[in-house]
Amino acid sequence: MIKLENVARVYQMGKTLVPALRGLNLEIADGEFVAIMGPSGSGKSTLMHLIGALDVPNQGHVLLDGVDIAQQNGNQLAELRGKKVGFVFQTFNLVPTLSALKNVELPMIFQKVPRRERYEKARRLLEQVGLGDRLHHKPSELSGGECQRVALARALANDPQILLADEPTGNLDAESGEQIMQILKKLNEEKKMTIIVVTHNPDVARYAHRIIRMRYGQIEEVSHTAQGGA
Amino acid sequence: MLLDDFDLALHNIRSRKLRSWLTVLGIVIGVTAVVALIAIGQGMKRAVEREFEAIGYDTIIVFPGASFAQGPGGGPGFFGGGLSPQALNLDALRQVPQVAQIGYLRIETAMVTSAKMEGQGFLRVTGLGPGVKENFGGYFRFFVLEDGRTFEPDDHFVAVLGNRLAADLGVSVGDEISVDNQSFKVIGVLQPIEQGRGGIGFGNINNALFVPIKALEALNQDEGKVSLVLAKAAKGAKVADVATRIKAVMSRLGTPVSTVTAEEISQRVSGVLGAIQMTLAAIAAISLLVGAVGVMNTMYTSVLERTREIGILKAIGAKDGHILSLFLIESGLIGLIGGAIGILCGVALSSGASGFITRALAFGPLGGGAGAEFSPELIIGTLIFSFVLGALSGVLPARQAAQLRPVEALRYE
Repeated sequence: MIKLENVARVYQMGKTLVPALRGLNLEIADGEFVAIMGPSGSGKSTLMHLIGALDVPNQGHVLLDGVDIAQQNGNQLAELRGKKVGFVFQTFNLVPTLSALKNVELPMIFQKVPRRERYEKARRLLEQVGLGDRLHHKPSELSGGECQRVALARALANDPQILLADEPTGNLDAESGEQIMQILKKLNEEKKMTIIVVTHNPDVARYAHRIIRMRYGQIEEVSHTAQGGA
Repeated sequence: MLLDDFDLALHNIRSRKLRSWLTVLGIVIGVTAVVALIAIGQGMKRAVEREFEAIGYDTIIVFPGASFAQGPGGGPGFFGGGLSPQALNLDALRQVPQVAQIGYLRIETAMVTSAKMEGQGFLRVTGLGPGVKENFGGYFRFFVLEDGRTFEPDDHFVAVLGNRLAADLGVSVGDEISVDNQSFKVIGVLQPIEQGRGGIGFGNINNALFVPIKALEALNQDEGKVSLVLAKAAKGAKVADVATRIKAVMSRLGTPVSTVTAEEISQRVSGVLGAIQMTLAAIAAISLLVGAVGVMNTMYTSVLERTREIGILKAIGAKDGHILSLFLIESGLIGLIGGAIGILCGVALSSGASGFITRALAFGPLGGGAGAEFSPELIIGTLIFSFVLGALSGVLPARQAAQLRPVEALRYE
């Protein structure tokens, strides 16, 4: 259960203060598939960072399963991110010097999962996203779609409750994007994972149960799709 | 976890080959210099200690005159060996409590020539007192015969020659040489000794000319004069106390003497060598410091370059401590690799250079044969030190990395 109460977040850009979120309220139930849409600068990414405990609000409360992230210290937030949340980014954000396998192992290393166990799990996850034959390739040796699937496998490494995807198909061709969205859909349906996708793309948003449109740091409109599925 | 950190750090070092190696090179140069200098210094110290161990720490060298450094009569003194003979009451010396044995030498300069040599030359002639060579074997350990025999109690006008001198004079065992117009029979020739080695008071033993002391007394028509007395302290006696007593007794007799114990010289020489070594090592340490600054620079650059990566790691659950140890281990590894290579280079360098350096620094009776010494402490210590140095150089950059805020780091381009 994700709950945002009257959340405001202001960034300082040089000498000017830029409000990214202005008093936002939102609840996302466990197992929901939500798309967040809106123009650039509407606060989508900031919202995602707050839900993912990468950032804390200036005002209001962000509650993850009742835990107020503003009350947590840096290491507690890191722990929260490591265990509860999986991130998928538009630019994949893989560690370029490490193999696909090592990239997927990383979150488990931080959670002190034993070597053997995490190796097996990383391999299984990569096989599940169709990269069983690419374990030892570096990101530079993989296509965009493959990189995003490695990133997805990495996001799933610690069995998170929440998967946050920021424009996951933004840098992919239509077919690769479709593959990624199918995997997300499957995770939502089979594992009851809460999935939150930030996107400009209506085709991506179609997968969600609920579409939240943002503007000027506030929620402009919430719409429900038929049953969330394309 | 630690093992994983090492693993990841190694990945990072390997992926930035050129820069990592250049940084490592900076450490290598510093460590090489430090290791080589310390190894050479330790080797020289060890050689000095060996020298005096051979002479024996129970041996006291007694010089006529109140100050040995400046030889009596303004001669060049102890190391130069211009020890003009003076009369000493040897019986009184022998009876000083806790003096077990004494032996003595008389050193004169005489005109030496031979039938085969054109012209003549002034040479140092060392007259050996009875039994001195046998009783003070350590002091005379370079007195090794190549041919002929050594002195016997009845010998009078006979000589044992250093190898070079025998060749220069064109004589061998059985030939005659002339010393101050007195004919001496050559009874022995010594083995050649590596350049620079001799014994205190001998100068270069290859050019030495030894005769029985009574031959010198006959030539000079006097008796009881000595240039140098060796006294052996009795077992269990405190050598320094015996030396003090010798000085007191001889001073009371009106013939003041000065004494040197092997320990004193050893300490003095070690002290000088130690000071030289410390100075050189300190200079070498500066280059190590420069290497450390290089590591710091590389790590700062690395933190900047990897800001986004740090953001990613934090997003997927890395705590500040993870990031910190990742960078610390990386810089520590750079130091360690540099240290390991530096030790190898230092060993190679000092082994190659030690012969040259010891020859250059050889002085007086000492020096020579001072190979570089590599103690396990030096090698292990250097490895640990270089790792710690590398890690320390990485502290500030690593802290900066660890304290990056994840959102800002992720946004960094």
